[in-house]
Amino acid sequence: MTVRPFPRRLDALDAINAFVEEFVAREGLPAERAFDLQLVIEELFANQVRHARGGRDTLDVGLEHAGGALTVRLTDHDVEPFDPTALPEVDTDAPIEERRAGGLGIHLVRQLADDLHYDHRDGASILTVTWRTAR
Amino acid sequence: MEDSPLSFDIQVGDAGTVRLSGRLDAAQADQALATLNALPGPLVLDCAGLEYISSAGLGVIVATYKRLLAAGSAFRLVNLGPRVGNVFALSGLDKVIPIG
Repeated sequence: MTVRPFPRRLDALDAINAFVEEFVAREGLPAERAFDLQLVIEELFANQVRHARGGRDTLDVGLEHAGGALTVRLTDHDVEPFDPTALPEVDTDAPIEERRAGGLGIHLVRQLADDLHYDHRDGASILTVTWRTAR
Repeated sequence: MEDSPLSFDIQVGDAGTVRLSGRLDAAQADQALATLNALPGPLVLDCAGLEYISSAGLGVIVATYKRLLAAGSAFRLVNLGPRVGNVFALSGLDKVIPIG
């Protein structure tokens, strides 16, 4: 897995996007794969930046293409547990008056990827997203 | 090092047409909402140049639509590309926001 630290700030997204584009090009993946990867990473990264208590100055973003599968792993060290997968599902049939942005990010991650898993281990929140096939 | 292009831009045109281009992400959402909040309706958001949107960007669109709905002003999104359009569809917002 290729892992790189990024500052705990939303304006790190441009650098994360560049990291994803390099990875997609290096692995020979279809260019449109970058869109899904960037969206998934942004949603998880922004959740941690906004809601996690504690944390270092940086979060680690990891990408792996192995055995035909694609894995994204976000590791936030020295934080209290915050499990975004435990948030209630959004109602995508609700009328506009009841729509809020909250929870929509995790909903999009679930829709775009095959699996989303949360773990809190050795003081770190670890979010792992997988696609069974990279293409 | 090359100058990187602006990652997101809003151009306010005549007759309530607003062009969004680039990436409407969590880093750009607050500024985008502030710009849109300064505009009275009706509004047409032209998304032909919009390459990317996340839930933070969807929040900007929802807030703007709700504001104009409450004011009795029309609001519409036009020229959504397939990738951005898919994010609206996955969120179910294509069913409640006027598109096209």
